[in-house]
Amino acid sequence: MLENILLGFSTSLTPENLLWCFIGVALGTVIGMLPGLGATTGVAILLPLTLSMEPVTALIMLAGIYYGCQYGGTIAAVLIATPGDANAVATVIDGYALARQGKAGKALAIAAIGSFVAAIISLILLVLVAAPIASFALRFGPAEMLAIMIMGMLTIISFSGDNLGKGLMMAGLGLALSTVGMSSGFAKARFTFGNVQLLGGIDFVVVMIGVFAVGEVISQVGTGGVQPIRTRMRDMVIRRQDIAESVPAILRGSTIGFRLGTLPGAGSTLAALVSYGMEKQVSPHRKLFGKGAIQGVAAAESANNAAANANFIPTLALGVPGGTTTAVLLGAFVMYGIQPGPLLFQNQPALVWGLLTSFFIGNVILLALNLPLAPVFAQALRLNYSYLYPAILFFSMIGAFAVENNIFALTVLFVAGVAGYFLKKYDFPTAPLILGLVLGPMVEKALVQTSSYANGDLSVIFTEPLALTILGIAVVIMLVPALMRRFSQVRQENLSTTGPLADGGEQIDGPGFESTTPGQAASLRNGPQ
Amino acid sequence: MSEVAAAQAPKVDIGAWVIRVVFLAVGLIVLYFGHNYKIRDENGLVGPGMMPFFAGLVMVVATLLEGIVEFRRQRQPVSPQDAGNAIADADALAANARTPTETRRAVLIVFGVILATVLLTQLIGLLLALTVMVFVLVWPVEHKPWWSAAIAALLAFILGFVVFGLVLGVPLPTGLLGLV
Repeated sequence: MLENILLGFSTSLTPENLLWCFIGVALGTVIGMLPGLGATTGVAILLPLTLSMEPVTALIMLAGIYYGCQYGGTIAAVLIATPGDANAVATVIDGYALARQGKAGKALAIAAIGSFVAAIISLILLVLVAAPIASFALRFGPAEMLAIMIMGMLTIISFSGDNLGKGLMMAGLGLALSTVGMSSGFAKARFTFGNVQLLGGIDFVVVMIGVFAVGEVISQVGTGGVQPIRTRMRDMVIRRQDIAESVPAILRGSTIGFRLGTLPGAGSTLAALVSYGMEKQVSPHRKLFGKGAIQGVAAAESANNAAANANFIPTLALGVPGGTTTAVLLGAFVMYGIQPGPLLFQNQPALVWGLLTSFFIGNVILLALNLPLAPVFAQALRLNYSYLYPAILFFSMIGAFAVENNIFALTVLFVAGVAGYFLKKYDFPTAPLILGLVLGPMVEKALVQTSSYANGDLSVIFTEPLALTILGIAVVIMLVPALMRRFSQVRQENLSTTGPLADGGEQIDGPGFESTTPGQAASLRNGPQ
Repeated sequence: MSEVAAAQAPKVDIGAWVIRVVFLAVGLIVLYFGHNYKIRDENGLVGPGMMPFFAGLVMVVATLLEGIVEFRRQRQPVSPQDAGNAIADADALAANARTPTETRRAVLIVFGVILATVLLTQLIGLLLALTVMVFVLVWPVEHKPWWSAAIAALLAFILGFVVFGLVLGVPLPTGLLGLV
């Protein structure tokens, strides 16, 4: 094992590979910041640049582009509430809230640190358990994948904020929108109403840009009170206390992300969403989630990066892509004449271990490049909003077009922007909508496969031991804490209606009754007029 | 009626109820079509209608339940503490914000500019249409100096052309006039 690691580092630490890794990370970060251009598009677009390189150098550069794009997406998510890709949706929720509080630098820094730690953890796990995990992943059949998807859907609870009903409404809408177009498992066009443009479905990236970027911009313009964020330097730079408080979230996120990332087809989006959802249930800082919890950013970003690295296990060991970006990379393997599979580790150890150790090096470069630059990136928020939001709209619209090179995407963007504005105005959470859109096709695929496998009997999910275990874990982690909190809340409400305040008695100052604004304090002091 | 007493009176948020009605209608439509697409096929396997049916069901049930909860909540009088909070929050917001009329106007204008840009793309191409959009938003809409709007628009054009057109090789539409 140690020999393999040393072989890997001796391969990846050559000057040429270091240079191209650096270029890949830098290019990937820039591309990832552009709305609509995620890691998959970034890798696909820059793939031709690598054709003249040695295979190991090319793959190292492409891997650098991969996680560079992910971090670039994080920058866009934090600064302008526009996730560069679906795996940054969870980051928007708390990352953007931190940015509005003048703490964008901290959010970006913890994302870089969390990603780095996740890279180390996932590299160690890759070295130790890549082969057995690949074998274990083979045991995941259709029923198990369906259970995983149900677990992903249960994270709606965490993304719904205080109103689960509205969250479910939005998730249902997302699932409905995901069925538009030609369905993958059936020769049937759904909800196209004769429109050829809808045959390809509604791309979630375009909806995401519309709802998050355009909707947010219009909301801010409508409010009219958006001032450039005046922030102190000490709020831009992360403190040791912030890092210490985020360590548990990073460790949990890395573990969850790695585990989910090893599943073929799961990708890093599911990992980020599940990690955020679970962290919200177990974190001691859960009350801050949704309002600027640095742990929320840490959990999502760690899971994201760990899953991105773990995606390479099924890709390299089985020749089955771990996600959409690794599917593109799989194509690169074929282009270079490399056959992924169980024998790859034996036949080309320098290439495999060189690639795996380059994850560590690439993340060191990412950290070294972006940690000092995090406060610099955050300075963008000091721009007068009158100049900033036209630029956001410019790049959002051009990015939306670039997703599929289709002008119809601009129409979808406009409709999504209008919807995003009104949904935000009336406090409908938008993350469940994207969750439904992203997970919908995956859930349907798992449903169809499970149905075929079990001759139409979907209850197989309750009879397959592994699937039942996954469902049980999901229910325990996601539902039980939420139910317990609800039960506790109802008990407190009952106590308050039968206790001293029940008959309009005097308001008592104390925990739970403290005023939060001077206006509230005055109102309580003066009483009803 | 005092300010607090007025704030305690049950309020109906018409906009939110309109959204609920829209969700209910869309959910019912999706449910109907899901049923027509066939939930199960002839062999009893999952059909193309199962996901739409399930999605529609979630939308309808969630909307009804959420609506009932909200209806009950709105019928209850607001506590003096919550009314005080609402007044304080509204005061804080009003200190920096536009009036409702100004808000509606600003929102409509920006939406109008975006829609016009989408339509203009067909004529002059995407890059030029977006450049015009930046200029219009910065100068007449945001009332900044025309020269700063011109600089912002030019910078946006150059960045967009270089990054998307040259580096990424995205085939940006040039419109009917075939300009840039």
